[in-house]
Amino acid sequence: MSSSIPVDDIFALFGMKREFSLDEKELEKKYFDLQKNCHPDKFVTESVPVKVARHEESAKINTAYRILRNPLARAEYLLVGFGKPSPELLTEIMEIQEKLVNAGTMEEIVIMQNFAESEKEKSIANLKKYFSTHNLSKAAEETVRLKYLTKFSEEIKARRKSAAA
Amino acid sequence: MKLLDITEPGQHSIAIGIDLGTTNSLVAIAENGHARVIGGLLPSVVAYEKIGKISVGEEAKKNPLAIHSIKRRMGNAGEKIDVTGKKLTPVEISAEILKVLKKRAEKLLGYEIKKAVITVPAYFDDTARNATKDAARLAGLEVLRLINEPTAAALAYGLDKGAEGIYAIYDLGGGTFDISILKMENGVFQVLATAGDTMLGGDDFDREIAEYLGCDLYEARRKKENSSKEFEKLIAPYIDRTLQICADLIEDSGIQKNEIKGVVLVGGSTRIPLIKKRLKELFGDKILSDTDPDETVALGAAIQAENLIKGSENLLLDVTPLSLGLETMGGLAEKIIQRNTPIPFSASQEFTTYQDGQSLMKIHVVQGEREMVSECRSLAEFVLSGIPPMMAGTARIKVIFVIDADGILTVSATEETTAKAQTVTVKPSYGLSEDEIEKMLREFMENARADITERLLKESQVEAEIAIKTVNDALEKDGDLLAENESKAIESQIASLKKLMKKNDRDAIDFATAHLNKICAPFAEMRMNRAMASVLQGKNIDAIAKKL
Repeated sequence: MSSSIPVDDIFALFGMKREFSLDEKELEKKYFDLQKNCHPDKFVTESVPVKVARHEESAKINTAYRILRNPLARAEYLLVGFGKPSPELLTEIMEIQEKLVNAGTMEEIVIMQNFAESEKEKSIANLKKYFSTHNLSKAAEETVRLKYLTKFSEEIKARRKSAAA
Repeated sequence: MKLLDITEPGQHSIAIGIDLGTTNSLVAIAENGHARVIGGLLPSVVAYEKIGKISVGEEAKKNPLAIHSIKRRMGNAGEKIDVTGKKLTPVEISAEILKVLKKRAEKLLGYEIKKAVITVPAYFDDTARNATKDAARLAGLEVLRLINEPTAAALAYGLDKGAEGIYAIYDLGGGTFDISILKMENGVFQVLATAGDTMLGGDDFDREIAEYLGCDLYEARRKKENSSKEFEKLIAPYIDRTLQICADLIEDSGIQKNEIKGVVLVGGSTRIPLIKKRLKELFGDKILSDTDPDETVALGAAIQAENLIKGSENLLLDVTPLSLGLETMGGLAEKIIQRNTPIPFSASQEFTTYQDGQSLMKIHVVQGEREMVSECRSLAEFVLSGIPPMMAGTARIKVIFVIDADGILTVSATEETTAKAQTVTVKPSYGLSEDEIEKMLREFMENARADITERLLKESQVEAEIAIKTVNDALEKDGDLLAENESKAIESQIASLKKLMKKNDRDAIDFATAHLNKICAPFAEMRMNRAMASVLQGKNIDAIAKKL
């Protein structure tokens, strides 16, 4: 089972350089401009083939935007085909997982949540560094790390919700 | 759809906006960016009278068998509902409301209207969206776009007040609750996240109050406005639930509460003072209720209808409210499209066979956030057949999900290793087929051609009959309330009405019926007072205390 990743260069679609670091404001502005030209709402009175074509284009832009604006998805997109995580990383992930499982009280849960959030931010900063220095194998490793941190953060949020209820 | 295709003059390419609500519906129209409602609120009540006459709105409310809150059943569009003498689907019943709204607009504008933007709760699932579109087609309306109610409200509010920044739209109607977070910027209305509950609304408050007081829903609705401490206690759990949904959404969306510039209140139920009070506690002093909560949604729909027809600089970017996925091994739901994804959208996932020589694969499409398929909404199930014999794990089956701008899903599956791809496209299982819609439209047209004069006479006769029966029943139960001369007057009016009913003078019958109703009005009031008194007597204080 695998998600298919768009074959087109989504950076090119947005007229942006193929880089991890990007200006979020600029990305959003380009997104709005692209959708203003192809969103199905602009073609309601057109013929069916035109509507279908615009619809596909609009969907493609939404798919690309979803990847571009999310640092993890963006990194994964840039690193398709790069290696597997190192044993050190796997050990780190196992340790965090264990702490997460053991966090029982609300206080412990909040500490874990803050930990996950700050590690995520650090990880994104690392990614920016690795991509800008073209250290792609490091970037690939960091991306896997970010993926797990994101998953932890979601899990701990859910735990917090159920603990509050 | 040929049947209703009447050529229209070019200059009349106009589309209406419709708020098809649980309790009330409303139609609006926009010209040059200025929207206005046509007529007042139309109660979303449909009654099937004895001889084929269908009444909608205030008129229908008088019929004890009338159907209320049909919108709550749109998610179960295949359901058959018993109405006088036949079984109808929620789609057919909703279509009656739309027909009346369409006619209202046509009467005002003087020409036929064929296009509309219709609003749906943001949290409506795929089935309910399809059902709404089907109902519109049945009413002779092409749906230009389904838009989400909070988004429509934001459009009306934003354009009206020139709002910029991040806003929350809190929409509590008769039957549904939605909360959306939107960013409005330079004419772009971008929905960031949305959540809600399609089974929570003012109707629930009315029911609680009615149960508590032992009165009917109408009475409960009137009393609700008073907002006494007791009623607040009754409805507080529902309000708490909406606030919990708001808090969760803010947390999930990653937006800080202080980034929200204002909370726009939409839906008649937001008039309840307790709601404003509780929202202030959550959001601070940013509650905006300076537009009519009953009208905002219809006005937004009308603005969007004009935008779509005439073109506009504004852009509406909405999201899908619920995750969409597939059933995988062990009854787990695998999400293909996450909730709050911008629409239109397409995504695909590859699957493989798990047995040697497997030639079939079941594809089960589900909607919802839960991990187990059994806890998600099942949208459709189909089988991809003709997979060529291969070793387990070698076939490549690509499943593609496409959501259109109305939030409606289409799924297709293809076996990709063979030159000849097998594709199955699925539409949700509850939607009506093209044939069914055609057949219903034909029947509708034929009914319309029936002899109108005869039907009107029969209607008058039936109405007279109902009036007489109602009065006789009342006399039997509470006749003792009347003085002798009063009951005599009523009885003689009944006798003369009975005589007229045998003749063919419709106007005379109508007049006599109206007169009977008029002279019985004081009697009805006396009966109401007696009923109220007995309700209050019947309740002892302990029972009331227990309920609190």
